[in-house]
Amino acid sequence: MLDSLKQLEKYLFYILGIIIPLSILAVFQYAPQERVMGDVQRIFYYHVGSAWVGFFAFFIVFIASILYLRNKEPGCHRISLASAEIGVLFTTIVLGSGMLWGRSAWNTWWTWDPRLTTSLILWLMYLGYLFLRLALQGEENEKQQRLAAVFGIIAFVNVPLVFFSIRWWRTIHPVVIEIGGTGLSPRMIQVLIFSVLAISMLYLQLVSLRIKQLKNKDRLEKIQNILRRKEGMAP
Amino acid sequence: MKMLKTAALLIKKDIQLEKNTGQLSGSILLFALLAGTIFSMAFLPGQDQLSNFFPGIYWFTQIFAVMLVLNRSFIRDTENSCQTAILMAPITREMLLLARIFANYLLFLLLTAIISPVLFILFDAFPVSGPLWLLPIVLLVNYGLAATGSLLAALATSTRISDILLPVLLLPILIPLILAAIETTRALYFSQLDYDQLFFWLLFMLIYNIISTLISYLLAPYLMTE
Repeated sequence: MLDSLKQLEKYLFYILGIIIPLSILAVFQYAPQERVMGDVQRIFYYHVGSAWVGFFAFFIVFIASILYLRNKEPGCHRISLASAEIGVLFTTIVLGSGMLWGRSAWNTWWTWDPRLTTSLILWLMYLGYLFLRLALQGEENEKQQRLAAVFGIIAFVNVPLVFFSIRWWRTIHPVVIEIGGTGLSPRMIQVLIFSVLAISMLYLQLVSLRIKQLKNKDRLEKIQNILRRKEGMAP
Repeated sequence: MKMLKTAALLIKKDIQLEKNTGQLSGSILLFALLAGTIFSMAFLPGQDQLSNFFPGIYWFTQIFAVMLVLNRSFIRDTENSCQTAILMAPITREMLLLARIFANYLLFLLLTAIISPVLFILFDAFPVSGPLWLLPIVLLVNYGLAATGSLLAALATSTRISDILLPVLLLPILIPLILAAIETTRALYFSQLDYDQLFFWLLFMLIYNIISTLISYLLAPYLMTE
């Protein structure tokens, strides 16, 4: 299982080289033009893909944090840190593309739609996670990792509460738009699935790169420590 | 049973400390009073729009005050290596955090009891439709603030910049509670009490509190260390 994953990881970069241009081509050429919104609707394919990856990334942070607290494996911490960083990146893309789309489709930059608001709060919470990491710099490794894992769990448990509270909040106000209700043509669905796949693979590639980088950083620190100790002992 | 006794002792310690010094209760009250006064100057009080903005002001005055003292309630224990002694108490880490939550809960309730009449007078905003319903709201919101706040303060005070870190981490986590607090309090200002809205959000807060207590209980062993 692990070996085949490693094999896949080797080729992931090359696969991405093919799949990303293909997905761009599909979004602009293969997908039909939407009748009402026109070309702007094409944002949708990457918007949904990034939203899915953003949420998935935070789910990975949650799982890796639990695993870390259970068996204190630094590898789990690296996974959760890498995933949180990439997750923040994709959530930023979601918010940006969502606002652009909302501006042209609903003529407003922002509405208090539950999905939109939840994404924003998700984004703020995981920026907090990264900020916590920043605040912990200079502490012992074990403490850094433990506290980050604790917050990773707290933040994720809060997500459904945030979503439902915003959904039920201000029930007097009409929900401005329901995306789920609009019918998508088969071609649109094909392109959507393809672009979600492409972005998921991009996520995997970015996370694995970042994990490798973090691993190297840890190794470098160890080597530096050993060298320093040797220098100290030298006559 | 014995553990509960020890936990009660820890809570008693906090109360005694407050009685002797009045550090936390003094600063929290003064701050809330100041914030309330400034809010009432910034938002011109007027009866017609009261239900729109007063619940928000009412709770944010308290949330800001609470955030001011949460860190202190933990840092105070680290002075004179008091923390080491507390950790030696014959009690689990979980109970240690729960005792802290309860001590903070009492402090926040005291704050609400004193600051509410002041705010009602300043804004001329007595909840006419159902003043008695304010009690369950206050009990639930303050518990949520104490549970989530203490959990994250335990986390934040382990770092060197806890003062900046705590609000950044705590506010997004509090959003569901804040929404519920404002919605329930708003219901008390309608001319006709809206029981559906009230009960719904009270239940929501109850669920929020149960979840945050559970999470505090599960994560306490990883936080209450030296």
